[in-house]
Amino acid sequence: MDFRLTKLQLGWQEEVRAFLRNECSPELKAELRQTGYNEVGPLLAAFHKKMRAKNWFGINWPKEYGGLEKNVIEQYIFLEEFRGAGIPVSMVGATIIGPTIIRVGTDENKRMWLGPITSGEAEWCLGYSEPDAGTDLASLSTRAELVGDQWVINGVKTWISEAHNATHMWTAVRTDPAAAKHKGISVIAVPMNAPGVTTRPIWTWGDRRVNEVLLEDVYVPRNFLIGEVNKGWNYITGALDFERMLMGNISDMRQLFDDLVQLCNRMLLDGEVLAKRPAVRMKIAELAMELEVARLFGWRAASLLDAGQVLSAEASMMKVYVTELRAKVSDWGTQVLDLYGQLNTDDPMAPLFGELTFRCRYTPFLRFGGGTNEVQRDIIAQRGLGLPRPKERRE
Amino acid sequence: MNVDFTEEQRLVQLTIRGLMKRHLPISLVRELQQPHTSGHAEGLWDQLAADGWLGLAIPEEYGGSGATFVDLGILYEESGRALVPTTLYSTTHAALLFTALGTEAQRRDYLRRIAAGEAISTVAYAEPGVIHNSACFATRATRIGDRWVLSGQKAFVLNAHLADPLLVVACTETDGRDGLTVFLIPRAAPGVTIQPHSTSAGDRQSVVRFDGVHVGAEAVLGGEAAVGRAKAAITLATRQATALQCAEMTGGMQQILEMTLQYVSERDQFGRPIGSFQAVHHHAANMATAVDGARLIAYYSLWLLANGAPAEAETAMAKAWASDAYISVSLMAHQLWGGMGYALESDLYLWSNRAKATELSFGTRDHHLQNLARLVLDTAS
Repeated sequence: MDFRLTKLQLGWQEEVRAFLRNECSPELKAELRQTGYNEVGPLLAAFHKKMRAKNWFGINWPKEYGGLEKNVIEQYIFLEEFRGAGIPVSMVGATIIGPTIIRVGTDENKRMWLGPITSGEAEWCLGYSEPDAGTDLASLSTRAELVGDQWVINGVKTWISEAHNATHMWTAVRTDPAAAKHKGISVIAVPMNAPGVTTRPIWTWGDRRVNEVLLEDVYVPRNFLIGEVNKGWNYITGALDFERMLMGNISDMRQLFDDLVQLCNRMLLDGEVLAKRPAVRMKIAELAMELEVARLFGWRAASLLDAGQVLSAEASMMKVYVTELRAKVSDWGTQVLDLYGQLNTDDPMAPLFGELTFRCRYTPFLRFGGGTNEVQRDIIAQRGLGLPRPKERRE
Repeated sequence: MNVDFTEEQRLVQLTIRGLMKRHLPISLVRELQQPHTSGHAEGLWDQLAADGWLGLAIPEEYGGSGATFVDLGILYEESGRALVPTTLYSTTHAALLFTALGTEAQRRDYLRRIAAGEAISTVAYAEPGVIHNSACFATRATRIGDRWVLSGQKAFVLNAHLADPLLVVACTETDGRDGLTVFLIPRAAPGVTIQPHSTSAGDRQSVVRFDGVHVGAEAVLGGEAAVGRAKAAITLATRQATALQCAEMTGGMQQILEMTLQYVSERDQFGRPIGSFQAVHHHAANMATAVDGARLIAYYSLWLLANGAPAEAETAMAKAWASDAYISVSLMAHQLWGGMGYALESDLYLWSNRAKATELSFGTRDHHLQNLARLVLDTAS
């Protein structure tokens, strides 16, 4: 047991921090707040360009594909620092699609898609959920049929983040309707500008734009299939490690919490600085404790992955704990601020740029996104604790 | 970064677990709760001494093995699982205070005896009406020539009925010092009276009265230089003992969790194991999260202490978390076991009682959260 980072890892951490100190300007943060993280503004685009120059879109990729070949701990360090600085790091192409293509893609897949990911030419979104296939993703019904040298795709994808910014959708489709439901799924790259693709916004409580993507007789070249046909389920579930680390990291909330602590020491309400209120003190202490435990859950996951273990129950536990804690920090944070806790980002009197208020509405989606917390708890109980599965299932 | 145990630590864990299984059956735990017994498991104690576990954190030059707080944490975690009698904890607490404050001669003498299993000891800190704030202590020691006279009362003294010596924290003249001094008091010294408490967990705590107890200068822990200057050492040893207790609590709740998983997997209702119901899955998942969180923060704090860090905030977090977790895990276990766990013959109550005792000892959740608030808010600039 050793919670220390190695010299090399500390050096990497410092490199990331130095970059963020230089490049993460107040103007960039203001732009992010202004776009509500929904659009890529000019400053974020310039920031991404500088990241690209450092090969930071391929941190965990092998060197032969232009990556930095960083290990899990180093990826986690990167994630911690970026999140802590308030920079969104979904980077689907770099963290999910690129690594999956490297792992299972054909040579042609690699030639076609890896370069555009690192260069930024291709921006990806994940096309998984459908109106009738959410948590039960394997029930998806979007159909892809091979007609000559082309796939013809029909179906509806929904809740798709970033579809409006993406050039391509990593699309889960059914290629063998006769096979068992996990065994007839494939992944196909669908260009968002292909005829028959329609993207419609769905605006959410958290100000976040997601999308419905209609696929109507969309023709895609045969070699846009990723890896082998009908192996898609394994590709989708095999890429979850990083996604789970993403969901389990909470350094942005910790940063926000640290800002709240500072604020409590200067903000006066009813003639008293907030930090003197006994109820505020207990809330702050409890959150400090829970955030520290969240940090340890994150490091445990990274350290287990680094040791070559496969995460299952540990990742689900972290996902449940961290997503529920996010909601708690936001809720309690706004309670600490009393009436100020309701002020939006664009209100000049909003403390902490209205971030806590925004997150009260934003964080609830994480409790069901990425696998609902009910299913995650079942995974903990069944895979982690060995409890019996429910016997009866209605097909 | 490796948040897991090393191979060697795993081996330590398995070895201790095996030893506990052989020398501390649950029937013995139950029996030692009976008031007519000493509450101390002599056979286990001798075995722990013979195998070197009592000297785990005692430096090699004093007959121990000089292991780290993480290793000692493993001993505590396994002890918490097996419900080892509290003499292990009170004696270790005393050993930590000897290490932090004792003179060379005192360490050589007492630490060697503790490692060899020849001494049971305890730290007498709280008083009737005073749990934490030493400024309110009424137990005083007065110097008369080169001797000391001690008067006052200590309460909640763990294993006072077996401890020899008792390490008694008393107020002495301040003259600019913090005013706390630790005295080594033989249990049989004239003027010492022990009145047992009756506690919920059936563990042995007592009120100890000191009526003009006379001791020589050699009874001052740390010698003349430490007179009126013991506060920092007491604080350190108590923090170390607190972090260790969090590991013990982790072991207790882990055991409850495992027994509960087994119970719900075997107990059938409505024609299926109750452990196959989703509601039960979710309770079990929450219990496991509470236990894993407790383990992570407890060992993080022990690891920091092992590396010489103060770990003040982390230990407060560990104890606040563990206090809540042990209680809620035990209550949920009772809910899931139903009447079966409520019946004494299930033995579940033995852990539930320990959950309450440890929740209250070394500071409640609120006590530690208040300390944490001070550390987080009042040091933020």
